[in-house]
Amino acid sequence: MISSFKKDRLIRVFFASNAVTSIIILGLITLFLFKEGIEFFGQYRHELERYRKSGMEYASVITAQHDDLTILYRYLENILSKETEALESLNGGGLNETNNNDGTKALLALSRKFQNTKEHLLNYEKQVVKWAAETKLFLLTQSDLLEIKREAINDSLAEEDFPETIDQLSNRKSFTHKELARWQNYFIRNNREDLAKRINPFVGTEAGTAKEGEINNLTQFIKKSSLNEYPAVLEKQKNEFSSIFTEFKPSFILPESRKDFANASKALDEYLDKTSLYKERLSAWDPQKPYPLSRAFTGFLFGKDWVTNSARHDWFGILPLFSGSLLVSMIALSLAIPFGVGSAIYVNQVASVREQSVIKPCIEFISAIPSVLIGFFGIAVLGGMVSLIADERLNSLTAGFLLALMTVPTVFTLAEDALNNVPRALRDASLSLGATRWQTCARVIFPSAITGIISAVLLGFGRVIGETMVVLLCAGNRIAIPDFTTGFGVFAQPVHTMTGIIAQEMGEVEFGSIHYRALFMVGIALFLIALLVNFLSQAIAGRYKTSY
Amino acid sequence: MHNVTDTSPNTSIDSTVLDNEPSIRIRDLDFLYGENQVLHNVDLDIFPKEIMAFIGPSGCGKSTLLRCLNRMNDLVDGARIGNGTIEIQGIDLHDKSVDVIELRKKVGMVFQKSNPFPKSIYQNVAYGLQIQGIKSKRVIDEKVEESLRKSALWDEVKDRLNENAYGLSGGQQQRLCIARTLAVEPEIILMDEPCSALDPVATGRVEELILGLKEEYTIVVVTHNMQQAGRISDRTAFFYLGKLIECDQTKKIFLNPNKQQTEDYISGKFG
Repeated sequence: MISSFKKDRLIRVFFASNAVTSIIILGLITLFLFKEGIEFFGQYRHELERYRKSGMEYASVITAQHDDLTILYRYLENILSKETEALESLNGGGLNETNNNDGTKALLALSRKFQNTKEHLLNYEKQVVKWAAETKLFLLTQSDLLEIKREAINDSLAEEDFPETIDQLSNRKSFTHKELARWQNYFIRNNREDLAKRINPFVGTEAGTAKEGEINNLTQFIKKSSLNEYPAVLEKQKNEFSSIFTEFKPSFILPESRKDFANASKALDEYLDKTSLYKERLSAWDPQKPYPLSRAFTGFLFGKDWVTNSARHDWFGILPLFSGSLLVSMIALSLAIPFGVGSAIYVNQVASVREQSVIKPCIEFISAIPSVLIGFFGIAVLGGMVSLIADERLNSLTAGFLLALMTVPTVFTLAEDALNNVPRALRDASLSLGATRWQTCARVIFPSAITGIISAVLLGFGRVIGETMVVLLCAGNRIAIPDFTTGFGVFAQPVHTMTGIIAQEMGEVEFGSIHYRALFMVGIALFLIALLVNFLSQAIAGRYKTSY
Repeated sequence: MHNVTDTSPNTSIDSTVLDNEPSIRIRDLDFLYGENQVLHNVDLDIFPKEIMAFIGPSGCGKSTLLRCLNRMNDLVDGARIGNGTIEIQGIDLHDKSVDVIELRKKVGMVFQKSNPFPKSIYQNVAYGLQIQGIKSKRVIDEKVEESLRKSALWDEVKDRLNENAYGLSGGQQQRLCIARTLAVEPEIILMDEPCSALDPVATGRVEELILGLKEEYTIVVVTHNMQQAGRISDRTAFFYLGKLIECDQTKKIFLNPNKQQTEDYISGKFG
């Protein structure tokens, strides 16, 4: 009696523990993901603050302004190249090269002068970037030094040669290379190679304002230059532009060049109007103004750039990856739904037993093909076919096709189950009322199975958005938000995906770095999407469940 | 006048019914599922506006025969007629020119377990009309009301026509299925144990309804319940092991059957 009771209990415990273990592991994975990922926001905020404090933020405004000018310059170049071409054909293939048209000459001169004027801003930008890079280095060194100083205090290392207190260090405006070398030696003498390694006495570039052999906090130079040098550059630029444009006597060969030139002049006027905005923005720039934590959130969720290992600043915006994943998934689903549901209807409603016994295993076998092989096929075969209609072999279309292939079994199997669950009695009832097979299918069976089919589609979406290998191999891996203004051309653009970026970059990142945490955050986003999709599909299946 | 007794020794016909041409004429019918023969040599006539009951133990082939009458067996893999013919109003059911869809409109069917569609009450009744392409809401409205009245359901559901049919009780669902069949205006209604899943009160109402429908329709009922056959049918056919043993006036079958097997079954010696 007792032993059989104990045996029962043991069996019970065994099976219960199986269930509990999987739940615990799921919990641990969730916990781990969030623990590693959530620190990202704090770190990202620090990064953004450093971006501001160092002056890189300031530099990026000037870069944007210079980009505007470059676009203007392209206008002129465009007119020039058209004019030159027209001239050459007039002269019968360049026979009279020496006898150049005066108009073209003038245009060429204008373009040269424009470029020279543009240089003023470029040079100013270069200088600011130099200062900002120096400052960024200083800030990084300072935070490193503070950290290792804290460790030194914790480990009660002797203070000889490194007597500076935390306060002193955080108030410093510069560090000399000599000092850095001394501190490095100090840690080596104390057998702390690990800390010594974190000091590099040879860092720093010549920024023009720093003393030789020092790295400096040069933010005040940038701030000052926004009041003196920058307005001077703008003034000079404005004068030069107006003088070269008044000197210019337009005489064009092509009639449309006149219109193009008028457009260019108008664009220049607009640019000059806009400079006051830039000026305001730059004079309002305050390196000490803190970044709120919410900016780190929005910067991640709505950030349009994912830039890593950049000299200026790393951006971790999920939008280009998310939109890439979404685009590929939409392509895949829009193919997988008709194929999957269509073949489910055929197999369930029309096919003979023998057809079923061929079709079902074949479709189900697709899901057994290793995804890397499907990727091979995509690169070797499908890419070539796609390149007939698109510029590139590997783009969202290639990946979408392959993902559709991989999702058809999921959608097919679940949709077929849903159709199968519709009671035979409903079909009989419909047929006995004089409905054809297709009427029965469309009006009774399909609507009765629709909830099951919707959850099949949702689970298919979950499969697609989580698929990694195929998108990594075949999506083209260009990190940019797809350009939806190109209409159908959007499907032919290479994209990067959330799964792809994790697989590609996780192997190379430094453990615990912000890049590492950012990848974890992308993972969390994926996790939440999968959770949502699963929840929705269960909710739909549960809510509209009809009891037959 | 067609003399039924000559061709079918098991059948004797009341003189009032004899005046009519049979609505359904089954001759020498063999029916097989694959290699398994389930009906042997069945000869049977069913006359207009009568209620014919098929009785017999499970597996005797009575449901199979019923499903032959609107060719529902076409849907079963391997099911086929081995020999013989079924004529409905003089037309051979298995003639190539017969349109199954048209046939099923003419020969409606009510199933053992009520099987309304997962749609509203209104949609359930309107379905048969809609699939015929009838668009006019007025026509459909009228037909829905008429059918629900005929099936004695109108007063119970007229205020909730747009509610899901699954909210109805089992008996109401079955009457809804009958209404759905009536809406298509069949001439013959086949009923496959229509009350087997209902409680006695609901059974009583459905039986009443069937008796009322006799005025307009020819009805064939398969039933396990011999009292039911006694209560509602004009004539009863007794099947055993795929053979039609005896077919006669219901009273005669129950009080004074010709065959010993029939008597044994009726008196409950087997079954």
